[in-house]
Amino acid sequence: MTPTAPGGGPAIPVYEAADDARVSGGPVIPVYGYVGTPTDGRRLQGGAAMPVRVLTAADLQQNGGRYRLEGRPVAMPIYAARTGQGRMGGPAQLVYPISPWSFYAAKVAAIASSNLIAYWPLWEASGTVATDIGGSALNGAYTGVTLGQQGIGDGRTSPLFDGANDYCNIYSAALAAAFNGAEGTFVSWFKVANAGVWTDGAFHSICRLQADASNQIVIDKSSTNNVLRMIYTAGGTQKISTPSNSSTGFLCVAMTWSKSADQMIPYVNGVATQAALTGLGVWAGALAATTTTLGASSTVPALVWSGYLAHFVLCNAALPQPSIAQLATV
Amino acid sequence: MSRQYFGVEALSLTAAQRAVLVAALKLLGRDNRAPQPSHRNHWRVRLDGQAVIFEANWNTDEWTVAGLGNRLATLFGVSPALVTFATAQTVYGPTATYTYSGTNRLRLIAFGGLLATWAESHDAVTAYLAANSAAWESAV
Repeated sequence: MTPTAPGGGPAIPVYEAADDARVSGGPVIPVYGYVGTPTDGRRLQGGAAMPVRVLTAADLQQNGGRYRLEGRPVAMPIYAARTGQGRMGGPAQLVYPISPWSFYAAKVAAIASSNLIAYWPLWEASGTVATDIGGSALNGAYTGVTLGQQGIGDGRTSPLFDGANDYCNIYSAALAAAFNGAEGTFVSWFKVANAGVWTDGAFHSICRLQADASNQIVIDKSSTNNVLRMIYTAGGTQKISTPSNSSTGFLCVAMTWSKSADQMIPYVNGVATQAALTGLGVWAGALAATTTTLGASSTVPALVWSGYLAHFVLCNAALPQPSIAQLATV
Repeated sequence: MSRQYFGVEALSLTAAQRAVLVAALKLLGRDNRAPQPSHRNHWRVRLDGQAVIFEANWNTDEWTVAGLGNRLATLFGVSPALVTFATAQTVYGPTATYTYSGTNRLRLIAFGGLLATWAESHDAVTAYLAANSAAWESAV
């Protein structure tokens, strides 16, 4: 494995935590973490301690025994510490497994961490919890999906939504409190179950974040053939983009919204699908419990997605286009 | 054991009867603690609240015509013999319509057929939902 640094900075050799060694080369970086005897909490190097939680047995179990570090408010993405051949990148604020299979997640950490509200990779192999690895534990709940299906190419899996009665409810009071209807970014990956989904005449929801009909963020497949919809509605003022697409592979769709900059920008595969939409309204209200969902428009569920979804990233600021472009590649 | 979609539609049940019936049907399924969410009993409710589609890994005796008739009889507090049914075939699968006291009370549909594979049942239920989207889909 040849890991790359996600933060753009120089590579920093990292020794395996179990060696109890210090980070060498470059600036000293204090890091906690010791896998195997998590209660030790040994640090690799002294200096000002970073608030990094030591792994628990449960963490390890949930991640198939792979290493996981949590850093708040500042931490470094670390690759492959197990082998002692890893490197560190830029600042991050994210929990993610350290393994060869987590490069995309590490990229999210490096790019979005300072603005991250939640990050649901949807890569669980079993269970009903859609874990938020963004550090705030804003976990969602799966209903009916088939986990462990094909992924975006990052070595992880995604869930299949059957187009009939599957969905993932990500609502929580904490998410509603953290969500910013005036400034934000939403990124996700999707893949239709088959080519016919693009022409079946039905709406299929990728996500809906809705306070009410006048204040909502919607990404779905339109009832019009081969058309996506990306909608930002605030204070009853709707901005909508309807790019054409008929791909049967994984696509990355994103939307940024900023009341302060007065623009909503829709993206597909890292490229804006049109000029920024302006004249945004004023968002009002908190996210509703039954309409804050992935893979359906509600917990009924209605407008159920037919296909695969992965890597939902929600931020509290509008990320710039270069960041969106980076998140659109594996 | 089979995994497929079943639908029930209340034709003439009180809200209380409907609630009791649906609550009982939500408890069916043989793998409701399975690690795979799709194997657990899950459902979708029609917008008017009068019909529900269930999917799960079912025990073979959970969705028999007679079994649902017995549940209906229990709701009305009468002998199962007083609840009659008539079967029919639709493009989406076979149906059974239950009658008590001269009134149709409930309709059952096995999407794709009683012996359908999951894929066959899935194709049938998605076709049904597409054809009846006004009743099942919320405003967009």
